[in-house]
Amino acid sequence: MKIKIIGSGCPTCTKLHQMVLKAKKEGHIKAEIEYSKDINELIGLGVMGSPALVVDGKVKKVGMPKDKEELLKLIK
Amino acid sequence: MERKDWNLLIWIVVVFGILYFVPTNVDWFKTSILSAFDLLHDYAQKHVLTCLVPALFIAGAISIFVKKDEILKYLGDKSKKYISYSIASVSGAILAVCSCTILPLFAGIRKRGAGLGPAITFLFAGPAINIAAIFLTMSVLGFKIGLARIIFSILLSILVGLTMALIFREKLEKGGLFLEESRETNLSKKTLFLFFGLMIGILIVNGLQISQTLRYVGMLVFAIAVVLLVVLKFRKEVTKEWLNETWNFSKILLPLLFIGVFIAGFVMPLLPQTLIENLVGPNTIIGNLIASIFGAFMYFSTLTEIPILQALISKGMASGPALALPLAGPSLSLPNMLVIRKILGNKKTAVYVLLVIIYSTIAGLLFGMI
Repeated sequence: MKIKIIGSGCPTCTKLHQMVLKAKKEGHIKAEIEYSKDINELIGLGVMGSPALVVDGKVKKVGMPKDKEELLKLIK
Repeated sequence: MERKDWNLLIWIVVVFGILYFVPTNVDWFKTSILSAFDLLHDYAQKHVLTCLVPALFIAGAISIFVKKDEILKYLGDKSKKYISYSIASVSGAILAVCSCTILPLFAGIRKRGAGLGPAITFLFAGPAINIAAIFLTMSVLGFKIGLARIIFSILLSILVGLTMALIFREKLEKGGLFLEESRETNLSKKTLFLFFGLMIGILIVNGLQISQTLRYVGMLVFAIAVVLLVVLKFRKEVTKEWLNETWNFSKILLPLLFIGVFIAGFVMPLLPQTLIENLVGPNTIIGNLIASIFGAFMYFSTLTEIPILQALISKGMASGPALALPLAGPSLSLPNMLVIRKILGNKKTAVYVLLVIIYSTIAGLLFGMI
């Protein structure tokens, strides 16, 4: 599984990245995690907002998940 | 020594260097420092509590309660042109967008939504028409110029968008758009209208020409009503989210505003009055053009254009150029042009910048004649 967080480098985007990294560290997921600041990539996917959570090439969520449970549901 | 210590050392050396060389017994420096604190004092007393703080609470509420996806629907490829232009022109106020979401939204509207015209309208109006900036302009520079700023920002954004759509024809891409889902808050429309109405009431009372005691009492009454409504009707999580968003906005805007006020106050006595009177004193085409170009290329962080404008007006800037500057100002700056260029390309960016400067000049000229 490949998880990608795409954002503009805004505080919320870094927060989401940290959240996903933490979920991996705690052993909830096994995945390759990538953080991208390329706005053109966001645009290519048709995402209107940031950050975007992309799992295996599919946009799962735009914006910040409400809590850890929601995040885990999205990336499992 | 660790890296952190090195950083600290550098800071200490820099601060010491400044303190060592600061010309404390020179007259111009004394006047400038005093003027800087004078202006800060003025903002703290007259504008921050009564205008900016309520405006920040409103901005926080907008980002929680206004359903972004429902508004963005009107900027999609199926909506009628006049609807998408008008929604795009006021979107800055209703979406409370932060600068980091403007570009993805812009690109989405342009490529898979309503097209280049409405996207440009959004790009211009997004930063120009935000609640905090409009009300602070009214509070600091007067009602007339504040009102003119809203009206002309809306008009100009639509004009720039329409002109761009006329000059450049673009094909839309196929494919869906992904939007941020809005959260359910379980509040009736009536409660929300009352909530926003009461908060805007605070700002309106602040703008009324009545005695100071009466004004404070009126604002207090509205503020208490807002608190009561929140305590009685809102769920705890919703209140928390609202306060959180408000805090986020404050964290970003307030420190920068105070730095801006300090700098504007400091340079105010140093600005050469005759030069400003010659350049932007009369309401001429040249004066308005200079103000527009200055606004377009200089970088002002949100709200700091206001104290800078205040300093320029006190040194003889006419009302026309004083409107042209904040019209061209917040939407454009040199760093921001470089980013737009990456998405739009050289030609379109150049035309966009030119259009903004030309229309702002004309708007300033018209306003100066009133």
